[in-house]
Amino acid sequence: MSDVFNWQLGREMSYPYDESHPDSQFAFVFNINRCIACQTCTMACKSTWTFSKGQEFMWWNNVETKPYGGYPLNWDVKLLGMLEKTNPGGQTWDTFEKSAEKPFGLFEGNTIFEAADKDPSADASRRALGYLPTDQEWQNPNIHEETASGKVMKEGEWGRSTQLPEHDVWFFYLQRLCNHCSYPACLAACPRKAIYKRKEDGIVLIDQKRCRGYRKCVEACPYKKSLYRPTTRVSEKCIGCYPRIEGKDPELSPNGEPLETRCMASCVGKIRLQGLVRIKDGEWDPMPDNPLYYLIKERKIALPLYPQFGTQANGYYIPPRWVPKGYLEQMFGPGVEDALALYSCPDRELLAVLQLFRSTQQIIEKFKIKKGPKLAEIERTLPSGEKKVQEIYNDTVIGYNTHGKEVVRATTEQPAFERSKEHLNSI
Amino acid sequence: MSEQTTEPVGPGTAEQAFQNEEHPANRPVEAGDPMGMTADSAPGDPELMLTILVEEFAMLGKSHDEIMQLFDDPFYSATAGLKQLLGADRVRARVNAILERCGTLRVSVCATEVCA
Repeated sequence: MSDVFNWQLGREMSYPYDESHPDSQFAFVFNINRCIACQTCTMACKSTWTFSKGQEFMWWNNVETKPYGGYPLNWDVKLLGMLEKTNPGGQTWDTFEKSAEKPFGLFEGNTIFEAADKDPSADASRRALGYLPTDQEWQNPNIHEETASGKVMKEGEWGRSTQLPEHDVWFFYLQRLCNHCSYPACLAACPRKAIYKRKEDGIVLIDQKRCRGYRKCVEACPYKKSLYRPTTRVSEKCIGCYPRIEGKDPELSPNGEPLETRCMASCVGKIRLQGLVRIKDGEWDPMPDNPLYYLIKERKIALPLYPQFGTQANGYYIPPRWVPKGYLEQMFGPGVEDALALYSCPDRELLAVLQLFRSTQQIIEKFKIKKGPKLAEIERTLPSGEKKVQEIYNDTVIGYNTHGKEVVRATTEQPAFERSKEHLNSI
Repeated sequence: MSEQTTEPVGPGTAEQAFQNEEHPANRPVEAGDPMGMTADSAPGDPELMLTILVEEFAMLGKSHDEIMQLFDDPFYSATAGLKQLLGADRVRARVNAILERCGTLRVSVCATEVCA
C-alpha cells in the first residue's frame, strides 16, 4: 500500500498504487433540487451503450430514490454498515480544522482501502472492502422505491431498516453514474490490471481484451458502477462517452469541440453540468472562471458522494434543500450546511453560473459575467424554513468552449409575477 | 374406460387445506433477505419539499400552468405523490402563494451560433 493524498478527506490515505494523476479530469455537478426522475438520462445512456443482449440489467446511468431505494438494492446502506463494523463509532469527521488542504475538515474513520487492510476476516488478496451484489439485487431498479413504509426514525438512528411498501411522501432523487474516481477501487481490485485511467481526461476504462470476468471490480467499486455481462463474461462500465469528450462526433462537433456526455446533454430538468478540470501536481489547477472549479472548489456548493469511501469521486452534488441535515451529512460529508446556506439564496455571481446548466451541449471551459442593473428582490426559503431576500440582477453569463470560442449567453431578465385568480382585479 | 378417481372438492378437503395455508408472500422477512424490500426511513417534511420544488421550478422559468402540470402527471412521481398526499386544492394554493412571493425567474439562453 502507498500513501496518497485525498483532498476530500483532508489527509493522506492508503491506496494499492502510487499517486498518479491525469492531465485533466472528467467531472460533473448534479443539482438534486431540480430532478423530477424523468429518467431521460437513463434512457439516453441505455439506448446508446447498453441495449444489447446480456446488458438487460446494466444501467451505467440510473436515478434512484433516497432514502428508500438503491441500485443494486441498498448498495450504500450495505457498505456503510460494513465500514461501521470494521470501526464501530469511528467513522467521524473532525470539522474544526478546515483549511485550503482540508476544505471539509479531517476524516477520522476508515476508507474502503484502509478497512480492507484492517479487516481480519478479509481474504488477503482483497484490496478494498466491498461485496458482490446478488442477481436479485441487480434485477429491480426503482422497484417500490417511492412507496416505503415504517416508523419514522429520529436523527442518529439511520441504518435500521423499515419494511416497504408505503410512506408519507418525502424523498429525493439521486442521479448516479461512474464517478471516474481519482483513486478507483475497481482499478485497485483488478488482478489482471485490465482497468486503467486515461491520462488525457481521467476517464476510467476496462480493457475488454484483458478482462477475464473475475468480478473483483464489481465487488470493490463502492458505488457499484462496474457491472458484469454474462453473455461476454467480462465486466463493463460507463465509458464517459469518450468519443464525445474527444470531440469526435462529426455531426455535432465538426471542429473537434468536446461535447458533454449523452446523459448530461439529454437532461430536461437542467440539473447537470459536466466538463474537464485541469490537474497540476496532483491537484486541481486553480481556474476560478471554470464553472466546475467555481462550483466545487471556489464556492463549495457541490459536494462529493460518500467521500468517506476514499476513492475521491469526481461526481459532485448540490444537496436537496428539504432533506434533514444528518442524512445529507452522511451522504455528502460535513460541507452540507454551508453548501445549502449558499445555494438557497445565491448571490448574483452564483446565480449567473447556475444558468449555465444545460445551456449548451458543448463543454464549457470558462465563463465570464457581464454585469447589468438590479431588477428585483425575491424572498427565498432557507433550509431552516427561514426566509431571506435575494437580489436579482440583469447579468449575462457567457460560456466559452475548450477552444476558447464563445458558445452560449444566458441573461437573467425581469422576473414575472402571476397574479392569482383570487386577486386578479384587486388593485 | 377406466373410472377416474378424483378427490372430492369441498370443505375439509386437501384443496381447502392448501387455501388455508399462509401465503408465502405474507411470511415475515428475515434479516439479510435480498428480496426483503427494506429501506431506511428518515424524518422529512413534505410541505418543505413542496415549497422548495416549486421555488426551483420557478427559478427555471416555469410558469404557473407548467408547474401545475408536473403535479398532474403521474409519471412525475415526486410532484404527483405530493398532490396525492396533500390534496389538489392545497397544492394549488401553495403554488399560487409561492409564485406570488417569488415570481418566475426569466432567463434567456441563446447558443452563440444561433444568435449571431
